[in-house]
Amino acid sequence: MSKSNTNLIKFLLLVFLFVWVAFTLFPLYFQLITSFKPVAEINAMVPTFWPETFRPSNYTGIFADPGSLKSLIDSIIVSISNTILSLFLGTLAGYALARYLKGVVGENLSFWILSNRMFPPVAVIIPMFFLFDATPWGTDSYISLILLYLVFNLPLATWLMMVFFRDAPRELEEASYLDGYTPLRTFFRVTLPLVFPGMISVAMLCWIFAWNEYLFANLLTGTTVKTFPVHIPSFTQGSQTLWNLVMAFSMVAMIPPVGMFIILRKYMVRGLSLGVVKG
Amino acid sequence: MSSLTIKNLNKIYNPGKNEVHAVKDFNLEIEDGEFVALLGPSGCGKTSTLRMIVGLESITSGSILFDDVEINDFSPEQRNVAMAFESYALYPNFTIFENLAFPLEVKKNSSSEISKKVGEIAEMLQITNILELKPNQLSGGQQQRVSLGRALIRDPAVFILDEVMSHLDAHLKFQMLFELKKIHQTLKKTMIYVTHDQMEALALSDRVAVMANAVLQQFGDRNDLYHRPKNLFVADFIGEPATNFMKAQYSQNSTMKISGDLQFSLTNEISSELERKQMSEAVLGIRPQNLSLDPIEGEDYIQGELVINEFLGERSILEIKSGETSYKVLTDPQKNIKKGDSLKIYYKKENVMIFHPETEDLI
Repeated sequence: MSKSNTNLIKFLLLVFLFVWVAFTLFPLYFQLITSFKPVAEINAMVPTFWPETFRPSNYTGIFADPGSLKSLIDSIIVSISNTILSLFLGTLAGYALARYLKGVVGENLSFWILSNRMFPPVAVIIPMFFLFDATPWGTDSYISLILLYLVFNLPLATWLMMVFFRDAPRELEEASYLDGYTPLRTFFRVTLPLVFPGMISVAMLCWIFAWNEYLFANLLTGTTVKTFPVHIPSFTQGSQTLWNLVMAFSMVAMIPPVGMFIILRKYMVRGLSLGVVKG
Repeated sequence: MSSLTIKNLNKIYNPGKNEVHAVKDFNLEIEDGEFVALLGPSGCGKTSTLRMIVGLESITSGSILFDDVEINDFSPEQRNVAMAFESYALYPNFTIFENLAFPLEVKKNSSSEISKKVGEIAEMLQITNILELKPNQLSGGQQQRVSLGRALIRDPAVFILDEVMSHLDAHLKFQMLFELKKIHQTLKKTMIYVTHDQMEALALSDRVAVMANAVLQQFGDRNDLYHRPKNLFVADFIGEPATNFMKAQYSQNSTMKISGDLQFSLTNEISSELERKQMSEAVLGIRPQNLSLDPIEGEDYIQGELVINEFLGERSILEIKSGETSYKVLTDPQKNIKKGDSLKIYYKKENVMIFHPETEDLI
């Protein structure tokens, strides 16, 4: 290929990337500026792309409702508990599938587990409601929501951890057995550190699902437990939605996942190619 | 330190359907402190054998004894064997110090004791300057040493090395072979070295067990393997360049006819054995090293035409053709002969090996 052609392709690629970034970031930008606007400016016929009246007090305004803070705390409780459970069970199950269940049984079982993640969640929403309604703690409780999210997160966690464990060299475990370690100690001392970056990625995926989930939370909970996605629609005054408060609250709710991603980025990027096993 | 005895060892993978008989009726006796190589081509069952010795693979039938104690049902830990892996298997998240200390930690050694032992081993293997690094920062040769060190530090009864040199370049390999030999001479431990490289096996070990197709072919020192190979496979596998094999007919006057004028004389022992067995056909083998261009007093010779003179610096490999049969001769460097030259090639009767055409055993 000639040099001018490569340059043209590079240029077109840059244009594409620029358009793509603008396209994805614009909603975020609009959310940000809306969160600083007064209501009157939001309702204007011609939208403004920079707040004419700058109103940071929207951010304090959202916490005038005590439900706002509680909804964030509820979200944290549900999402973190669910992540810990998913990761714990998924890691153990993934290890068992990767190391002990091989052949036809293992393949089918692991695929069946993943397939649980493939059906549309809304298909089971009514059965889920009745199932959790029959439990002693009812639908409107932390434990129901935590267990319910496990239905979606555990298959994903199990499958991904299985893949990571398959990539972790078996010889390291064998070396550890020969060095006198029991299988359980080997698992914690040798194998788990190998898949640690993978565990971080899985934890992030599970946590973000639980943090953002709206459909089930809206149907099952709402009084005793109210996660933030369910709380967002409550920013209304009469028949009017206070978009500036909705946007401000959403911005606040975005801080934990974005912050966590920034902190854990290096683990997520590092991947699994840590081994020094050759051949 | 222990002696190691293997009796009628068998390994069958997937019994029933698609079964693979990886090790067949394997018998071996290794003395205390001996260095034994397990040599064979890929897929011959040598890795399965050693995995059964260390306890990573179950034993289908037969028994393994350390110092006359059967260890079939012992865990790898109870067997007290150490193994250095082909892939080194260093723990990537630990430093070299932690890698070396790993086997000691589980035995509840005090930390000062651990530091002392790690220091000793590191000194012996000359890796004291890299103890704080992680395995992926090391070169192949250094990783190799660390993996040896981790095996040595435990003071095991039997020490097993699985193809540990196969990822090293030729120069480094030579150096490590030398050091390994030194380590063995210092520690005098029972060592089993698994390899597919006959050069490594012959260079290192007191005795070599040659394995092929799941069966032990021969167990002996290099002299046995070289001069008295038990069968055609061993004669072919041991020695570089490979032994010349020719189909031959026995004629009454103690000679083997190959084709045309080409014939070899035999010793009286072999010819009487052939006559006793009434064998008229056999496979004749002679090593290229045992064929010479220099006349040997009173010895026999064959005649042939030079086809290729492969000059390798300190020696030459000649390809010679006599009638329809071609064979190789290893000689001192030859510069003055060229293609088409007619040559006389001398040999000693006792170096002619005769194999049974069907069983392929040495006669």
